[in-house]
Amino acid sequence: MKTEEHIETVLRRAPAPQPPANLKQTLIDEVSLPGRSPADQGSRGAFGAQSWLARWWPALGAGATSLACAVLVGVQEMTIQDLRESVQALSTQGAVSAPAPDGASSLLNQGTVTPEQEIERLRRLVVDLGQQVNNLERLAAENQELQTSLAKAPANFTPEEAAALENARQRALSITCVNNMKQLALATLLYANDNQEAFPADVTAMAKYINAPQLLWCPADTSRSAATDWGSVSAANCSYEYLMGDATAYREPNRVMFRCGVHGHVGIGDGSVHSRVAKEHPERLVTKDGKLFMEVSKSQPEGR
Amino acid sequence: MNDMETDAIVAAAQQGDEGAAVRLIELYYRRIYAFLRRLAGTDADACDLTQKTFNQVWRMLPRLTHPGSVSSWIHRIAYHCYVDWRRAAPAHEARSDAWWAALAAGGEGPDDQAARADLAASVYAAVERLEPDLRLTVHLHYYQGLTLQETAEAMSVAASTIKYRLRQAIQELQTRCGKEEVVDER
Repeated sequence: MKTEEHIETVLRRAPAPQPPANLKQTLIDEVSLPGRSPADQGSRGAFGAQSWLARWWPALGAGATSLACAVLVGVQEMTIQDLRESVQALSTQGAVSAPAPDGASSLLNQGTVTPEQEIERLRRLVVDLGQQVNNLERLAAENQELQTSLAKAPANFTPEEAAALENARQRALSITCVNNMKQLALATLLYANDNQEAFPADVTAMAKYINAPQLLWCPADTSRSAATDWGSVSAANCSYEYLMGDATAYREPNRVMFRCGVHGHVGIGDGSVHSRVAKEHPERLVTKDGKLFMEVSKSQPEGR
Repeated sequence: MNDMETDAIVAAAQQGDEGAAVRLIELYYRRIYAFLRRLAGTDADACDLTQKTFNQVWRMLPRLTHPGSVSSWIHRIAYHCYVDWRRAAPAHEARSDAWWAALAAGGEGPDDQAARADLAASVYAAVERLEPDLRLTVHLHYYQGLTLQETAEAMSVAASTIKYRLRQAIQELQTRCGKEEVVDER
């Protein structure tokens, strides 16, 4: 036998110390299972039930709660069903006892109506409905006439109506022109601000400051048309006279930068636009050193 | 008794069956006492530790959800009780070689097994001088008869670690006891 195996054999055969005689009983007397007080050691049955309960109460609690909820839902469903039936019954009863549309109480629910009475009632109902239909048809015809009249050409208007419409149209065109000139004035000042107070030689030089080339065209100018792109801008597309193209131009608040040949609006160096000055108050425009200025009168309303 | 029967006894004890608890005591108290007696060194201390072990067993019984090897579990509790006792009372009686010699001699007939008894005594004494981990491994596997897996569970290590420690322990015992030819008596 090899020594290693012999050692293992010796180890396995190691004698075991024997416990004292009273140790077993001592251990039995000291048995204290969980959940039991020392006083309850004798009542095994009670301890068993308690331990079972302690182990299973979470599951039992959840199951009891679920069962209670199911019972509650069932009772509510029954109550809802009863209420539905009641509502249905009441609805049916109410429909039977509802009065006739013409206000006359129906005698059907009393069980005493005669066929002749019922026929008379129905005849009256037919007459009422026929009148309502006639009214509706009349209203429809009026509506159609109104729509047609709105679509009529202005030539059919009265002279007063035509004049009022034309005035409104011209006013709208004038306002649009003023807005165009304000944007052009602003674009010019922005250009000067970005270029050390140097003004553009012409309107195309400040193209990037103007939203679209259409702003160069006055909508009331029937002799010109709006340009579609900057590449095609020419005198044929530009309604506004640009007066700051000289090399000596500098920022002067009263100097006229733009002038509309149609309306006579002028836009001056402070960015404002004055309506119809060139046509209605030409005396306010003066030329100095080859430059056109607008004299601002205190009595005159301020420009836009 | 197989593991299933043991598990059933443990389950019954967990339910509060006192009879099952008594059965557990009968199954394990001798082995636990022997285990603790070898470690602690005196009968009184071993009895004390055995009582503490079983008190701890009843206290921890509800937490035992997967018994596995009940033997490993109880041995682990016993060893922890021993370690706590050692920490609290480090100046315990050291086991002398004479004690192991007497124990070895008591196991077999002294007259015709003297040589073997001498070797056994020296082996047992040498075991007590091993490192704590190796010593505990030898105690659990050889003295208490736990399998490799049970020993691993009791010590909370892998089975491969137990194999390694056993090999180490045997080699050390060989070194300490000397390699002697043993006559095969058969």
